[in-house]
Amino acid sequence: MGTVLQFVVLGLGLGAVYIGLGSGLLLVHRATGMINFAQGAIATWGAYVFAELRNTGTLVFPVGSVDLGEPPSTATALVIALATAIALGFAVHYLAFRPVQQNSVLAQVVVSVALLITIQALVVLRFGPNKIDVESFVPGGTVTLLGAAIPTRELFIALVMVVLAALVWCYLRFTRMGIATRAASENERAAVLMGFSPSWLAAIAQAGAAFVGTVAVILASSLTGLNADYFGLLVVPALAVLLVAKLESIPVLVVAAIGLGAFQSLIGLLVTQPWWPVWAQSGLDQVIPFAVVMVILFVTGKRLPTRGATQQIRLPDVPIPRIRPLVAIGLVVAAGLALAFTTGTIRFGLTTSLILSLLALSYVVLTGYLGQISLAQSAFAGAAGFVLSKASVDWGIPFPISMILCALLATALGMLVALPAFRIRGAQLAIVTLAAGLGIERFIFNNYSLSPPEGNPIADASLFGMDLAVREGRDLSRLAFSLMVLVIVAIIVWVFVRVASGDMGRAFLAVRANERAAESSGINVRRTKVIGFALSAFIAGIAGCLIGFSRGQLSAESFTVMAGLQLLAVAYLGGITTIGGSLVAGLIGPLGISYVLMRTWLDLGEYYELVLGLALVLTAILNPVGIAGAVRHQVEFVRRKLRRPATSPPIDAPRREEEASHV
Amino acid sequence: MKMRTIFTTCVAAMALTLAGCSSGGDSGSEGAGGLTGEPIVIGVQAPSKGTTAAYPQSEYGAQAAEWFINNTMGGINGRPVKLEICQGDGSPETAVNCANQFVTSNVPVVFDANDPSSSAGVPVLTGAGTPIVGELSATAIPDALPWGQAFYFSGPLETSALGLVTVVQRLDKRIVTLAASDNAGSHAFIDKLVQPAAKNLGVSVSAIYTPANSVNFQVLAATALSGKPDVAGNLSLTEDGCTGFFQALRQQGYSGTLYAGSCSQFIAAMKEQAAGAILQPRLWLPASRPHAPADVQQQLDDFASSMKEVNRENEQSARSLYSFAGMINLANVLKTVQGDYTPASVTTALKAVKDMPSFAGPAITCDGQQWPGRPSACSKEAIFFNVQPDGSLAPINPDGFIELDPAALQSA
Amino acid sequence: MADAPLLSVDGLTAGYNGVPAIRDLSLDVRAGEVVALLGPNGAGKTTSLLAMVGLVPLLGGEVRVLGAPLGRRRPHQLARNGVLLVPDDRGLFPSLSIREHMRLAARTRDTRREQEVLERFPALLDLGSRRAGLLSGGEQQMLAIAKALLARPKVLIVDEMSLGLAPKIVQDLLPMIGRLARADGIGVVLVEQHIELALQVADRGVVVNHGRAVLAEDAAALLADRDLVEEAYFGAGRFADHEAVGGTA
Repeated sequence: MGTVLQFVVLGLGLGAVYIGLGSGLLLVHRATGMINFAQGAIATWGAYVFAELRNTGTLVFPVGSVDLGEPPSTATALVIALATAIALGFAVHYLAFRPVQQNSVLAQVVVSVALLITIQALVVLRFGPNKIDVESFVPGGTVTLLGAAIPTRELFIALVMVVLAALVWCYLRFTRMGIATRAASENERAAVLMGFSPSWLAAIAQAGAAFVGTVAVILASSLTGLNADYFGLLVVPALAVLLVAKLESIPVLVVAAIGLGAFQSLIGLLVTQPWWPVWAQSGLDQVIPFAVVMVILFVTGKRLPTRGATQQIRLPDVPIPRIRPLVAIGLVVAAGLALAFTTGTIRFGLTTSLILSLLALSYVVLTGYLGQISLAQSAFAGAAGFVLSKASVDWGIPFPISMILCALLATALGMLVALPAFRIRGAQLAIVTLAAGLGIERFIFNNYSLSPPEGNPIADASLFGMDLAVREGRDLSRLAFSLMVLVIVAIIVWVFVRVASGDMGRAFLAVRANERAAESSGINVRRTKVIGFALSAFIAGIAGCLIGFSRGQLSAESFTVMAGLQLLAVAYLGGITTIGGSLVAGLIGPLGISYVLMRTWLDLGEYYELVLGLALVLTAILNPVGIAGAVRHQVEFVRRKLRRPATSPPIDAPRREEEASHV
Repeated sequence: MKMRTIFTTCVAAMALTLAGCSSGGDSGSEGAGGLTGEPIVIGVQAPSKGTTAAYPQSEYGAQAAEWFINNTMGGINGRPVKLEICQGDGSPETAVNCANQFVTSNVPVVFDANDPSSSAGVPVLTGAGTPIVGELSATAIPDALPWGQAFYFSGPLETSALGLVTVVQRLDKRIVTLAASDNAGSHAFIDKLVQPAAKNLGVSVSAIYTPANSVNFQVLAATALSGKPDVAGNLSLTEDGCTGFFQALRQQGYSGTLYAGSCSQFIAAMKEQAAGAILQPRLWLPASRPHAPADVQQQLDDFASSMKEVNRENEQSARSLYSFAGMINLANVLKTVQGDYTPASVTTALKAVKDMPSFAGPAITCDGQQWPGRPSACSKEAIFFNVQPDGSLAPINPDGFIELDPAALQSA
Repeated sequence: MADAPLLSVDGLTAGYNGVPAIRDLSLDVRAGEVVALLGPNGAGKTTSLLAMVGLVPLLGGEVRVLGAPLGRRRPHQLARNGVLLVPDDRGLFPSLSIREHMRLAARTRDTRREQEVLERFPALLDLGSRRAGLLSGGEQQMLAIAKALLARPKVLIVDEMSLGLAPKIVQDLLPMIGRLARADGIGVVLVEQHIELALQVADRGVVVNHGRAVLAEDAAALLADRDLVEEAYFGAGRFADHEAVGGTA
């Protein structure tokens, strides 16, 4: 009994972080209606500033740093670090969130994902990749209760966070600005008419959230050390706790946070017991929050609060794709020639770009056309890849049956994730898929029982005696393999175009625009969603298998949640609504041709992720149709100018044309 | 709106180019020590960056070795050595890219500086016939390759597993609890390697897994102590992890034996409280110098001075020593190569290694027969140390290295 | 009155997506004056009000508030300067209590003045902690007016106050607003469907139809000539050949 109590208290360290991040998430959601997926990353920055000040006396900024000579006292360092946190909160509001307030939910989700990527990359660049120690200025020691040593540090930390959460609650309850924040979330126009600036309220909320989160991370990292990605991803269980609190109630949030922390700690104790099954030893602490999230959303999905905004939301236009045979054949031939006339790493880069564009296409189907935000695509691809390893090596299933089977497994997974999409959408669906992706990553990909230590080798493909292996000897990228990839990509794109330009495609767009209207015009929304998720997961699965074939060996790190978010970033940058967008995404994605060229000619090093994150923030704010869309607009503009030079119509004419295809 | 999109794409393109131009982290190699003759290029895969498994010390050791080979050893048959270092960041994408680069530049051999992500590049290298060489492997993937594709001088992963159980049993302890990073490799290690050996030798082993990037030491220690072990130890934590874990154990009142695996930095941090801890590194560590034989002392001095020459005096940990030693061993093998330095000729030379003395280590033979099921192993010996009250390391066995019995790994 | 108008609208043209919903509207409101803005549904009345407080961008014309043009002032700044709009959805927050609404209305807490204002709406006095969403239509409207008054407005614009209210309540509320206007020197613009009551309370009336002001007279004159008002509403008689303007977007 004493041990249980001891572990419950030990779990308070984690619970404190959940309180901090959760309160911040709640505050920001109340003020803006948006979910800030970067809350953990933002909180981590301030903690790093604090640790660096105390360890080396250097005050580090995103650009540049100031050497203070002697490390300042704990109190001074705390003040400086928290001031940076507040400044970061304001910056995040004005530079990232306010500009997308009137954009679509997708843009809002993408902006905060982009912030997550950017800040984490920045942390690694400015503070180094290793874990750093954070001093503990909280009194340590233990107190004996029920025969066990109960640590006082965790109790103190949890107490501090509960007090902070109470302050947030008081702010929202009793202060004029807090009440105004709640008011604005219900009826923003009315708040404006009473003299409140929703933007200013949101800025205060962001700063407050950054403050509370940073305190939590500073305190908790004294227990575990500070690391670039750990606290960033703790936002996922914090989101689970936020959903339990129905995005509204601080007291429920505090209780849920403490409960989750204690529960995860107890699980940690249980898995060491000899009777605990081996296959369930790792990743349970991520699967549980995911299950909690699913249940909560399933049960209460329709009753979660949404914001009464002042203006209509614009969605990026989606063109209906048409098969123009000449263009298509031309593209395929051009790609084939490019593959034939390059060798080695360049051809490998081109081939990988083709595969990545398939992954991006899965995002186009699901997010661009169907309008569902899923952050779990990499999990589908990874699942297919891992099963392919078993299928090709252990069970000896030949290609291409093995690939199709594995993609079908990914499809099944996708259909599973479609279930919560029946009742929830937007940022909430993003949360579920993120939690699912994390759960799959920890529980399945890292599960030793499923993943042997010798790795996951993938047998080379061959068809009717034709060797389709990716490499042989010193030929890093055989033409046969690359052409096979090209053929598969062409087939899938063709299938996609057929679907997208047919009734199903229009059904997708209808569901994306307005589910209720779609339902009332006779479209079976549920079936449409399932089909969309299934198709998207199938494409992702094929891509995962192709990645496996191109590597020969599959590692879990290729399909982590962070890798998936990077894929989303790249897909959105390329253009999430068109095939062209997915091709551009393939070109700029990791291990694609740009990546290879940059590493060969220039030492790109660690800046890739930072640039990706920043470019994504810009794109989410300025240009929802991505690079491909921008190019298309340019091409159309030029074409129009060339066709009728004398009577060129006003600039906003193309806009209207595209509105027509925007259901 | 159009202007903005043009602006965006321009900014993005500029930023990408700028990022590429600012070549940070370019780790070139040290001078050629006045040697003429065409340099022999050796590819090196080092875990220098990344958020979970970054060990820059592995890279520093290799750089120090390059200096030593070129400036003290007189090169390899008069020719200097040049390292083509690829800094791994824990992602398979980087490893594959590195491997592709190595094959493109046709390096005759690739040195694996204990990089866990290098396994992603293995298919590329083996496909091209480029041999992989290292002091020890971070994962079981290269360990299990057919003979002639990979060579690890100090033995496979199982060395640590079997050695641990062996020494525990010899010290008459019965209950062992180990803390490990939560990844597939650790689980496989415990379940497939340690447990069978433990069962055979009558020792009970349990493991506690913690996420690699966030170790809550108090929780870890409490969980470990809940099983009341005789020996509490580290399996695959980082140096910081070891220190934190051991300190927490002592804080919670544990007075039994500590098993530190490869960690050594906790000794300086814990002073007297570290006495009695068991270390099982692969080689004679610098801290063992007072108790080491004369030739090993000379080797450790060479290591220290070489690290000083490349400005890494403070990074003389086990990891940097492993890289250093592995590179020196490789250089000695390369001296025996007949004719040109190609993957094929280097592989032949490696296969012919027999009873060769290794740097600060045992005599090695790379005939693929040293360890059943692990053709890459060149040794089946292990060495164990006890931490002395003065912080130095004394070998438990007066001869230093002892031979392990791989048969004990078979399930009973 | 000799003093300058609190709100001066000159040739106001406003609409959505570049299409005007109201064209060339002009009116003045002085301190203590009540102006009734009348017209059928879709005439452009609400758009006019929104444009006056900066919620809808001006496509033409000028709005001068408290002597200075709208300029770049944001709607919330105008509200703080004392130009308050009570919109057609009453501008309430369903889950906030009456007390919380009053708290939001005044910058500094003045319980005595709160009491004073609430006393004009006795029905609200005992309901302090009830949520606005649970109030009856009449109570909600009273709350909307009360919180506007608490903020000491210089210009008060009320959109369709009588919508959905029982006639008895309307008969009490409208005249009260008139009295308040004159007593406290507030300039009031009332958009109303209750033509008679509105004209009884107002000093002047403006009838808007198809996006244009078609009739602007003293309220007394309009009350006397009901047929004229009817014609203006239905676009008959001398208003018949008035060109239809764009309508709503």
